[in-house]
Amino acid sequence: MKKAVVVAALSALLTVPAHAQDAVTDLLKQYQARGATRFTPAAAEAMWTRAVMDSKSGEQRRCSQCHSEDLRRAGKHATTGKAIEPLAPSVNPKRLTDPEHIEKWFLRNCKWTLGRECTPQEKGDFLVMIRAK
Amino acid sequence: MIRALMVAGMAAAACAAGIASAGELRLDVGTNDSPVYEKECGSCHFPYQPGWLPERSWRRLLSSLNNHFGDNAELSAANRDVVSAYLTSRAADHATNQRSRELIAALPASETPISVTKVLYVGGIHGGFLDPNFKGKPATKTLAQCPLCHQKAARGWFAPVTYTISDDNFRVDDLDESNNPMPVPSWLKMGTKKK
Repeated sequence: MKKAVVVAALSALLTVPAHAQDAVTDLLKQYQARGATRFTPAAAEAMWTRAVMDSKSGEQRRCSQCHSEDLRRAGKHATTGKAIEPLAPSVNPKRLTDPEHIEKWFLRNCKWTLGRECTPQEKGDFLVMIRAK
Repeated sequence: MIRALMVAGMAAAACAAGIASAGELRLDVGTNDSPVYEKECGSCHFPYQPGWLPERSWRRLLSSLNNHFGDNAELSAANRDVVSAYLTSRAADHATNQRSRELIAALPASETPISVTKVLYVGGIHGGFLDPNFKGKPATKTLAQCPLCHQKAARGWFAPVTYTISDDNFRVDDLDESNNPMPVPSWLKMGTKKK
């Protein structure tokens, strides 16, 4: 048993470190299986700065409000002011490496910003847009 | 040496108060021991130890994560179950440490607060920092950043001996006294740094 754990740990160390490419490729496949078609960064770019009225608070919300318009720069949480690390993998290689993390924040941030969950198509568009930054 | 004396003193105090069990100090809320809770909640704010709120509060808070003080903080079903089990089983009303007991004793049974910093036991003693007349540094809008002053917050130590408010952080002469009904007496200003 112990040996098995050690072997598993070693092989985990030897495998290629998690890479943005792998996580995104897997997710894009899942989104396509759920009805998405060709992903276009342009659609996500347009969505990034589009203001959406939040009916409860009466305020305009947009992705760039917290993440900044330039994805290579750090953002700032709209209410708490907490620094948000850049989304662009070119300056922040930790980004887009963990599918669970990606899905968690899609759920939270789409609902907060747009008032609804994002569709598989929209999520894919965002991922290919961010990946290229 | 000083630290050893301090620890010994605290241990003695704890024993005297009858709140040490199994050789363990139980004066304060202690450390978190749920990696899932620390990761999921601590990535946005200080992960308050479960002993800061009663079980009913944690349940109420967890049932409204889609509007968590104006933010969406929803968890996956699996993680929510882990976090819920951790927080409710270790909540202040089940905790045996002195601080949680004091907090519960000061909390009316009819209240179910979901904000740790607004619980009277916490908010009351810190109220002055949020007064607009108080221009202390770090200038804080909320009390949600415990470790700014309580350096041992992550280890669950909030005792007076473990916080630091330096002259640089909180200077009496930074106060705006123009509309202060109780001006700071001059003797209190002596020895504080001049700008």
